[in-house]
Amino acid sequence: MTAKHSRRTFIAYGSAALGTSLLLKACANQSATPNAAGDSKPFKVAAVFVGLVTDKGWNQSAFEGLNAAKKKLGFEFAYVERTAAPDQAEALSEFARQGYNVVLGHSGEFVGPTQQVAGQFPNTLFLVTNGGISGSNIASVQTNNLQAGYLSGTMGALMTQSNKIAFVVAKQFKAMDQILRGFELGAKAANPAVVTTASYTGDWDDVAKAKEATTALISSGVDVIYSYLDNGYVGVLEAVKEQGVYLLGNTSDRLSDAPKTVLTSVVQNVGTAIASVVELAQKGEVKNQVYVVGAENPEVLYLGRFSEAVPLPMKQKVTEVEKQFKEGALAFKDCSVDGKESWCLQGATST
Amino acid sequence: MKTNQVSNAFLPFLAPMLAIVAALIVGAFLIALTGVNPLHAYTILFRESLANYYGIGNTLTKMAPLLLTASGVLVGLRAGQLNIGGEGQIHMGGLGAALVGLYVHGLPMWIHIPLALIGGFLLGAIWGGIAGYLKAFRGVNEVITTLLLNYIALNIISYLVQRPMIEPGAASPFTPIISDSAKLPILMPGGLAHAGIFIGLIATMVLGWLFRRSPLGYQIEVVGQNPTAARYAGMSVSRTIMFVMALAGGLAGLAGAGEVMGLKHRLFETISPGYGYEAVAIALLSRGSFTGVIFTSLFFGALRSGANVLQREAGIPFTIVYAIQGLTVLFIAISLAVESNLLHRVSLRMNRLKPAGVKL
Repeated sequence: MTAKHSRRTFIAYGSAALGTSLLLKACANQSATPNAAGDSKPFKVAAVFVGLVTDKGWNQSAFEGLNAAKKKLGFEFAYVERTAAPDQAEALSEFARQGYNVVLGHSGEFVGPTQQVAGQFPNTLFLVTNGGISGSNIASVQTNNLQAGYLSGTMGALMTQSNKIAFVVAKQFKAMDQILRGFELGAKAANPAVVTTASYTGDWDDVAKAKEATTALISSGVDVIYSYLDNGYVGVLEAVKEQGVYLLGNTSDRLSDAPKTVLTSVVQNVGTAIASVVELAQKGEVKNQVYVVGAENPEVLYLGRFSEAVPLPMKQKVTEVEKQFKEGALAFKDCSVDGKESWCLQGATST
Repeated sequence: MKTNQVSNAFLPFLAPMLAIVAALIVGAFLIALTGVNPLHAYTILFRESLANYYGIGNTLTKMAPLLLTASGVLVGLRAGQLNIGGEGQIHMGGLGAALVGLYVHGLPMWIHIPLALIGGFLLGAIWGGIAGYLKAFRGVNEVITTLLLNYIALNIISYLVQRPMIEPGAASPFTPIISDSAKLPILMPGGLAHAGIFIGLIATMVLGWLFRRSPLGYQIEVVGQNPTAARYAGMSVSRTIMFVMALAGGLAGLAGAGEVMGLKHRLFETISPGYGYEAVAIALLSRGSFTGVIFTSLFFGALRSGANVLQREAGIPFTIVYAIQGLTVLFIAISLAVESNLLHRVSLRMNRLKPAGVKL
């Protein structure tokens, strides 16, 4: 097992390696010229995804939105998928270095890497989905999570028999807190007796964990589940079907998965939201701000098809809430609940 | 006698080289399947990982944690312990560094950086040490404990970054940025490569010296090769095992500390995308040699950074590069078997030719 090398060979190999790398560095230095984004060049958009673009959820939605926008607006589009946290800063800066005009990091995870590298590329716009940050060349885009949660909460509270509804999600962070808060507010507005709970599975794609968490919630009396998972959704769906309770879909229209079980879905087309900001960027009208796109853009956030199990008056009530969001009659504001930063309905004093 | 010596020094490098070449040839077929010219792909892979300013930076960034963790695994192997807990130890090390980097303020850089590194080393060492204690004093198999401790560590970190340590209003579970005084310096301006690679090289050289020159290294070696003889010679086998596992954990902890202090400047859930497991492969392929670890880590780091570029520039899926990596491991395992068979036959023939009493 043990190799017999003398100290001399060790030093020789080590210094050879070091020398070669220094030499290569010196050579390569010359080729690394900063690229100026000329006006005649085509507009170039790049996206970095944490997961796969075929996940039927978060990443695929963005991917399809950008591909549709590419056809419509005619920009060049490149992407990398499955980029783990240690590689994110590298992926963003490589695209920026190659002269891409917009570099999208499609997750709140990209906040750190974006802040790390954006300063070096003043000619590139860094866009972060769910980022909540802005800067001289940084903008963020997200769908209106509060609205999505609120609509789901309203639907759930109208349909529950046990007055217990629950939100199943992988992890806890700001965007998910917003959905949960909307869910609570919507449920309380529809029926003050309803109790909402949240369950965190820790994994967006783990089917078994999702099923376990859902089954546990159902056995505690919950009879409407709002799932907010990627592939883990399959586990939620199984549990809900087995136990004969209701499900609220997210992200895309899930009715066809189980027409009797899925009450409705709050479709959040994050890809279309991203595409709308990219379009602004191509026109040169983008501002360095956090874009929150909700029901006011009916292509981005809307209610999917309803199950036959939903009686007409209840369907009308939920659709009415959607309309209020669309018209701006119902909106949210920042507020403080029990000393913590949170969100409340505009005009309401407290919860 | 002389030729034999030369081949002894040369063989450990020849076999991995041939294995890598073989893996690249088979990999070429896989790449061709995706509709890309393999030659074009390999040109990109080489150019963007080793022959370009940013590529070298990316390779070094990935090599640093691999090198430290693999050295830790190798130290364990020398004492006969298979430590597959690198992943958990990296994360605990990251936690240690983040704690010092976040909650200790007002120190000058030259104190804060070593302190944060020590924090990372200590937590990693505790994590490795737990497995070491269970093996040495309770007889629990270290493969099982280190593997299971990975899950515990990952879940602890997951809890911490989602609840108590999360940055207020964070867009994803992560902590605030550590103090500037605890950040490792960047090596190449405009790139991401940080001083972690030096920590790795220094640690590996110190270890090389430890095993070549010091009584402690000798003791570890003896414990690894024959615990009974070690005990008979008056060495404490259990204490040595415990020490080795803590040291291995500490080295992986340093890797995690480097990731937090040099690359991401904050703690979050997946600071390691499987470096801990890759390190086991690197250590096994390096055949007990610390020099070998340096080169194997470089190769794996280059593959990793090249893989990212292959996807970006040639549209080759990441999984193909993983397959090439897997093929390398497979071919090296094959070459090891072939080589030991060959050596055995050569030495048999030598023994027949040489008169008795001549020592090879």
